[in-house]
Amino acid sequence: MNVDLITQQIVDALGELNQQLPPESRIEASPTALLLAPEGMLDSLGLVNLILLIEERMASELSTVISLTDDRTLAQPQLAFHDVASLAQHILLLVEAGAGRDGAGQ
Amino acid sequence: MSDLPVVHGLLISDFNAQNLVGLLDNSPEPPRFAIRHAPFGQVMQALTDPTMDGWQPEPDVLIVWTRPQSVLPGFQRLLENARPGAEPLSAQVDAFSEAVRAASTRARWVLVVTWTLPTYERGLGLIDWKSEQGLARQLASANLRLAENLQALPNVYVLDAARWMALTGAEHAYNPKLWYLGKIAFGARVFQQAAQDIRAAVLAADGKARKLVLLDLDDTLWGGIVGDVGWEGIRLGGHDAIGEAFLDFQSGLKALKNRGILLGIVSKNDEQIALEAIRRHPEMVLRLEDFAAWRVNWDDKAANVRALVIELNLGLQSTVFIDDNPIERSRVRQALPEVLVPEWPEDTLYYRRALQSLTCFDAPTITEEDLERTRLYVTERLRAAAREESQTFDEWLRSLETRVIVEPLAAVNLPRTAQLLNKTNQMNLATRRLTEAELQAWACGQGRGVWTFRVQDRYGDSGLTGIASLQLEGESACIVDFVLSCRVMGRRVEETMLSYLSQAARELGARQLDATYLPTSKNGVCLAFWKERSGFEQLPDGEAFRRSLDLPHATPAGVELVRG
Repeated sequence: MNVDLITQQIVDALGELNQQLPPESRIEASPTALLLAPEGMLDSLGLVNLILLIEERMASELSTVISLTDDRTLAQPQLAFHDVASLAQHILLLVEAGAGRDGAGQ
Repeated sequence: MSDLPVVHGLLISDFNAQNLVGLLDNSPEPPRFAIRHAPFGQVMQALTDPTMDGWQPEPDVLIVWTRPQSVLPGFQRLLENARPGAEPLSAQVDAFSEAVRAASTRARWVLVVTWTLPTYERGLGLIDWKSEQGLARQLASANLRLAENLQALPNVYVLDAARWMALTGAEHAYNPKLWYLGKIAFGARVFQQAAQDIRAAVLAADGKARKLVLLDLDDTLWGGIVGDVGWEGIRLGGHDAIGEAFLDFQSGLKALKNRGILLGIVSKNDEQIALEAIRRHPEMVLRLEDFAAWRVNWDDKAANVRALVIELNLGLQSTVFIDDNPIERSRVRQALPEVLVPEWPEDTLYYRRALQSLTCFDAPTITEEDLERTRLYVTERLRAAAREESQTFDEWLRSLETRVIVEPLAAVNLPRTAQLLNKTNQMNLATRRLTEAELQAWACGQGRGVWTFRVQDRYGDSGLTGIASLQLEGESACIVDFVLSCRVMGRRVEETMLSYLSQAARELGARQLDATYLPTSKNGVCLAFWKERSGFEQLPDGEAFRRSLDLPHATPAGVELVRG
């Protein structure tokens, strides 16, 4: 597992998320996109959808079960979800620590 | 797609369905939606209170998607294994149905999604279908009652959400995280399936369903090249997985034909050899009488598709082309972009699945005429053959022994009348598009009449193929609708309809008949008829026509007009 693989999953999830968003709320599906950063476009509903899309993609594409809804992440979501790069690093840490393995996705 | 008219929608749900709104609004596929989401969680208020936010402007389509535990209090008790309340669940379903019925008068079409439960809800487990309190049993019963309650409402359709869940898979259909964090009841893939069916439903309700499937033969309807191996050597049926798959695919096509979709053949082959296979192979499901027409030759397939569509008096936008060969698919797609050319699986074993997955054949109703459609085209072939043998047009017309049966609009012919009104493009004076309810309401107005025309001849019954309506305005009876199926055009049925309208207008007390032609890109043939054969005077200003009712207006020779 490396950060590039994870970044690709996030970018793909953003592409899927954009299909559900009105044009003015869409987020650039790229490794440099801002998410909850002050200039970012992600709102609370978008955040929920993005979390689930990434969790599903990590499971289906990389066979890795993670949970992005743990207390620590959700308490300060603007840290992990500041931008695509910070989110990829956060997920990599979860994977390496094995902390995300909670059987998420039912 | 930006030039397509916008379909305004209102979505009423008891959960956050903003994701569905986004998928519908953003889709590059037609129709072009603009959906408003009523505040979620206020379902009954939103359904019954027309002053609530979202009802203005009046929506074209209303989508109602709820969870059973939210709108049926008794269902919540079932989830808790509590004793049933005083009010039976069926009464709660009836109350919900009544709210939908009330709302259905404020939208052209209403789509009600069936109730589902997350797959992890096991209810009473082993006895869930045995006990009257079983969740699965009660859910099925509630959905059935809902469908039965709504069945008689002509503009209300029930969409099967259980299919969306099954296609999505349990893991992706429901995720508790979505509910707890966002009050989103279903996964993204469920909404994608829903959006696809909602698009198909609106296209169907709007009369845009596909009506014709054109098929290749070799390696599409059967395995192998019939020109090389002969009809005895093709793979079809037998104790063979591939042969069985072709047989099953043909059965799927036959099922389409039996619900009114026309089948045709476009194949590069020797016609005699190919048709012999259809006639003689013992396991062939589709026989020649199942096909409305064919083009079997060595010409360009796109040209053949175009010619066949013209022969059948349909539009390219009504047509689906299925061919195993990607080069032929690409050719037809590039030459005729209005034709739907689905990507086709390389593996024969997936043919039936690919066919059944197409949503483009969804229709709002299936009429007797639909069920008879292929036979009507087969008899048309016989009629055309007789035309070639006749010396003159008049001689041919007389030989047909045509009867035109006129009947007033009534409940029994309303579905077919609305269907014909909404799909006829060519011989259509005003091209009004109305739902059954709108048409019925219009016909009830003062000084109005709507009549239907059924055409029969020695070759059979062409069914309800004409509509005409009048609106009395002072001394004038204005012809509002003048619609005739292309199936019977040019056989003096048009003149017979006008003759009848003269009688009807006199009975309404009018002294003259007026008609105003409203042009579209497709009804030029209608203008030609009014100019050249109607017997009406063309007024100097614009494309309006008039005929004094003092003039006699006889039924054309060779046609018998019968009041039904």
